[in-house]
Amino acid sequence: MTAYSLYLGCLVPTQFPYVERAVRDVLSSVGVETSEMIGASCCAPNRLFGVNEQTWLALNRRNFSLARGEILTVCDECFASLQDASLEIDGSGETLPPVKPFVAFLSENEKELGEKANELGLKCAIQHSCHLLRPSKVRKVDNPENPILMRNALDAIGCRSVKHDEELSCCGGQIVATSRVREVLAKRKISSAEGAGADCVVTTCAHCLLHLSDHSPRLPVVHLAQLYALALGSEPSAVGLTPELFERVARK
Amino acid sequence: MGGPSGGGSGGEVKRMAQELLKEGNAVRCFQCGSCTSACTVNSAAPEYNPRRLIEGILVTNTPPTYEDVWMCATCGLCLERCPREVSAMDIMLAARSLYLAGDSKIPKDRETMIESIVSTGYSVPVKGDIKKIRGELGLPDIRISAEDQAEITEEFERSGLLSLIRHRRGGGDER
Repeated sequence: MTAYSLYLGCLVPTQFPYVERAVRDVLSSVGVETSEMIGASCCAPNRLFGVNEQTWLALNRRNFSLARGEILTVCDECFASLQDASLEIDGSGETLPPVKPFVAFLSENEKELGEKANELGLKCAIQHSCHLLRPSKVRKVDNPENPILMRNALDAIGCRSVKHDEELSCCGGQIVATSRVREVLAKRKISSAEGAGADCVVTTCAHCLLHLSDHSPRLPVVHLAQLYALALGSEPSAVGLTPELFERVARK
Repeated sequence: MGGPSGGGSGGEVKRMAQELLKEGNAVRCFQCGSCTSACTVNSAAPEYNPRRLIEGILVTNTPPTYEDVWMCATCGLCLERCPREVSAMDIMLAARSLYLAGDSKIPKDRETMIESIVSTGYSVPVKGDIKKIRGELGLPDIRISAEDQAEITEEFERSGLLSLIRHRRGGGDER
C-alpha cells in the first residue's frame, strides 16, 4: 500500500480536529502509512488570493520540500493550490511529488474500503467543491459538469446522494467578507439541500465545510472523511459527528 | 460600484487596463456572455458582470474596480464554460495584485489571513481549546518551530509583500 505525505493545510488541524481524526482513521483502516509534513505552511490558496504570486510559489516550493513521496490533501483548496504550484515549478525543470485529493484516494481504494465499511443509509446533498473540479483541464480529477467521484464514494458506504439545484454552484466562501453575496450563496445552497430532503451536506473541502457550517443552523455539514470513518467503525463523537446526525444513521 | 479606490489617475487606470489585456486570454474574448450566465456571483449580484468587465478592458480601457475584483468567488465556472478559454477569474486575480501595487490596500479579512501566515504559518488563528481537543483525540501536537516560522516569514520579506502591506496599513480605506 502506498505511503503518503499528509498535507493537512490550515483549517483541518486548527478548526476541525475531528476531521483530521477521521482522515487518519480511514487511512489506517486500509493500512496506509503516512508521513507528517512538519513545519508546512498554508498553501496560500488562489495564488495568495491573487495578491502576490511570488510569495505563493515560494511557500509551496517550501511545502513540497517537506514531502517524502506523494502528497495527500484533505482540503480541495490545498489540492488546487499545490497542483497549480507544481505545474508552475515543473516548467522550470524540477520534479515534484504528485498531489492527490482525498476523494481520489477513496476512489482508488473503493473496493477494499467498501468491503470493510458498514452501510450508513444516509441521504446526502453533495457539495462539489469548485477547486476540485475546475479548471477541469488542469485539475483532471472528475467530470466538471457531471462529477461522479463523490457520488460513487458515498455509494460505497451505503449513502445515497440526493439531487439538488445548487449541487454545482459555489458556496461563496472565497468572496470577500464585506460582500453580502458570500452569505447569500451559502444560504441558497443550504436551503436547496434541505429542500431535497438531505440528512446532511457532504464536502471534501475544508473551506466549504467552514463556510456552509456557518450558515446552516439545522442541517449538519460534514467532511466525507467523517462519514467514512463512521462507516469503518470510528466512534461518532471522536470524528465529530453530532448526536443528531448519528441518530439519523441509527434510525435507518 | 465605485471607481478604482485610492484615487488612481486616468493614466494609471489606462495602464492597468492594458496590463490586464495580457491576463486570462482576455484578448480572445468575443463577448458571448457565457461567463456571465455561468457566474455564481452574478446570479446573486447582477451588478457583477464578467462579460462587461472584460469589455471594459478590451474596448474602453476601463479596468474592473477594486470592489469588482474582490467580488470574484474564484469558482472557475467562467473559464469552464467559455468557448474561447478566457478566464475572467484569472483576470480578477491579476487585477488584485495590480491594485495592491498601485495605491489601494487589500481587504481587511485577506490582510488578517496574510498576517496570520506570516506570524504562525496558518491562515487562521489556532482556536483556544484546540490543543487540548487534539490531545484528547490522540492527534500530534500542532507545531511550527521557530526555524520553520523564520523561513516562512522570510518568503514574505523576500517578495516585498510584507513591507507593501505594512506600508499600506493605516491608509484611508474604510469600506
